[in-house]
Amino acid sequence: MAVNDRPGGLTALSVLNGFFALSVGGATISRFVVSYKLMDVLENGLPGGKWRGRNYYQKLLDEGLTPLDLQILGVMGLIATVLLLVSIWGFLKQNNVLGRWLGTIGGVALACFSVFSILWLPQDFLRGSGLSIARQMFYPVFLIFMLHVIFRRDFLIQRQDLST
Amino acid sequence: MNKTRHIGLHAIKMISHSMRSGSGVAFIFLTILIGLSLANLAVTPIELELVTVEELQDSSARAIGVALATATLRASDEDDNQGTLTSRMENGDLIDLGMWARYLVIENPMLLSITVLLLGVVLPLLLPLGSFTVISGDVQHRTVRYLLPRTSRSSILIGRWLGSMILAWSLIIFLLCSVVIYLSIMIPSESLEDLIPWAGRCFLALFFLTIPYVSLGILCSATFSVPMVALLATVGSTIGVPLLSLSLQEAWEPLGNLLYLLPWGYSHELLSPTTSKVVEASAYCLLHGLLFLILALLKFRRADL
Amino acid sequence: MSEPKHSIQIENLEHRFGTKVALSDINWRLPQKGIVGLVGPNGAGKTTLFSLIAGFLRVQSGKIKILGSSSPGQASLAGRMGVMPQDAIFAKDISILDQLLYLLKLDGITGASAKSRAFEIMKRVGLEKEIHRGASILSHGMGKRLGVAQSLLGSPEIVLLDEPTAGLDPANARQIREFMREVGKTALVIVSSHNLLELQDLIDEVGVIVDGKLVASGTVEEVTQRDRRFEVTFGVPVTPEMLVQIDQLDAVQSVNSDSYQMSIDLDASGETGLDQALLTLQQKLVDLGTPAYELREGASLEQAYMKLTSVPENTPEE
Repeated sequence: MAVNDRPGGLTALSVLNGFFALSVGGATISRFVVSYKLMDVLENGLPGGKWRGRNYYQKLLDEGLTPLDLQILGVMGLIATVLLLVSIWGFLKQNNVLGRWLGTIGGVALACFSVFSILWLPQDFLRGSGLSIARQMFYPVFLIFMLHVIFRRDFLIQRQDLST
Repeated sequence: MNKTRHIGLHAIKMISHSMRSGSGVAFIFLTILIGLSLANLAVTPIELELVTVEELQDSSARAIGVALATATLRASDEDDNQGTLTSRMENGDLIDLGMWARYLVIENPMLLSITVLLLGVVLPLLLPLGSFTVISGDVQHRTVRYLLPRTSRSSILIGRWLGSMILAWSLIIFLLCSVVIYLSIMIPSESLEDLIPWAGRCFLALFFLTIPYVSLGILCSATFSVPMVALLATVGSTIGVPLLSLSLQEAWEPLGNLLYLLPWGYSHELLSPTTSKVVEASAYCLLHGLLFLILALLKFRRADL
Repeated sequence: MSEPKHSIQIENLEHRFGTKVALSDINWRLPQKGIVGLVGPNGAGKTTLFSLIAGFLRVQSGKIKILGSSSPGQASLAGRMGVMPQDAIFAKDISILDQLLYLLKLDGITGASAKSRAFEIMKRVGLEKEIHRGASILSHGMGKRLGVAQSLLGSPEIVLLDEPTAGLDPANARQIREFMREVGKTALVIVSSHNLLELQDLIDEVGVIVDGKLVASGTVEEVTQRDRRFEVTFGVPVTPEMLVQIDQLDAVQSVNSDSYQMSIDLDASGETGLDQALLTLQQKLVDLGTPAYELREGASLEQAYMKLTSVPENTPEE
């Protein structure tokens, strides 16, 4: 392993980024899958007989949710996932653009994904109270604070070194 | 050498270093995340209208009563099962515990009380994450040798203890503020006028609760030069003492008093309806913390570094 | 006549690690300023003695008085000693500058003057470009230089340097020695090293530790018992006749040769001292028709060290 002077907190942040990237990635996949299933339901109606997803899709229809809404959420989630994953590399290399700025945008994208999920999805799909959403919002705020206050100089010094 | 100034410098350095270190980031993140998760546990049934406020008051009062009976070592009786315990409370046998539970969930904001009670159980397990490497990390890598010619050992220890305390208190304030703001906006039954004074009271309870556990973390950090061992020792004693006392109590009841080796034995009194008990519990927390701190000081001052 | 003041007084010092005796019956007095060398084989107890003086280890038996304090680690000594520990590493997660500023704050220096002091010190040891980086990326030699830098941050009255030039290239080692000479004018610098040739030019006094005992201490002349070695280089190979002629001189104690070089041990204990001995030698060389191309003082401290540590000297083939 190469010797580096990266602070341990930045390494920990990259691990947390990975965790949240996977988490939002899973939710993103779910949005896309549900959107395609919803398109099928809109075209062909709810399948007859016993079907576990019946109530679920019925609620989506009742809420007026469209496949497009879910796909938009999916795209937001995808952007957040990709940015969070790429910024892991940026954190480890202390790269100002890939790490600090992509990480910031990734955090904002994660926050947007959470907020729009709250606004558009039925309450019981979120499987928790508003405080669980507040908990989800904590990480983007925490991430942006750490990148721009605590570790700011570490990214800028690295940039300075590369330019000289 | 101005000792007070040095203590302040070490405290500030400890806080800024924590925010840059892996263990510090993990500590801050986990504390906030777990704190909000505990609050979520309390709030969800009401917010999603799974239960009514009255139903939750009733069930949480019973649960709190059982917990208090266990904590006050009155859980064991002839039959020793929860149903008997609950009926003992209803019959007026453990009337003081029933009144205590009522004080927490009926007379004061219930959701905040439940959150703080849960925090009171989990915080002792989280606090070591913020203090286990405070001394042992520098001793292991001999970084402390750069400090010793410039400052006294007691300044280093007390300063870092103070830094750990300030960090822990800041996180608690953040958690309580978040929960109070959220409850005042989202839960109609909770008004700001009731929440703020009770939040202040709860903060004081958690403020005093933090002192002995952070001091225990510092003691283990000063005793063991390997940070991981210090962490295991702190968490091990925090979990081990109550488990040991509760299991040994079965064999011989007085052994249950081992619970008092750590604040588990009296920390519940910090939210007691009786002011004298609160003052007593706060004083015990202070003394307990002071004891651990003095032991840590003695250990650190005599250590070969 | 009043006794000169000593900045460090060590009396009957003993130290054990378990059953192993690390130091035994150490008695030593060190001056208020100058450069003092501490030499000895590996495991002799040099680092243990340093650690005791610095207050890293607790004194088990005996006394160490430092700058009027009854023991090391007292509050009155804070900021008055600079120590470069052998095996300590700077904190991770923080830049070198931040750590130096922190140490300066502990020394009572803050603000712009602290920052300029940090930059100045780092420039002196040639590390100004790394000041914003973490210490973990520094090489072994750079880490040594950083250690020296932090020991001289404030204005210490005593500086302990444990092998400060080990592993450094000649240019950096010279830079450190210059630094030590400068500091030694106003403070006491105690330096341990295995490079006796380097130490000999630098130090005013020396202490030799062997197996935990201080076997010799004092000025270099006292410890070397006035033996002075010179290395002479000729333009022609050294012949046996030359060796015999030189050996016959009164001022010459012993002589060895190796191809174009001769090692001559002069006795400088006479009334006229070293100057006369050298004059006699050079006159002889001229008389022999073999003037010296180069005359250099050799490692007489090394010779004294070998004697004191009972390590046999390797004599070159004649």
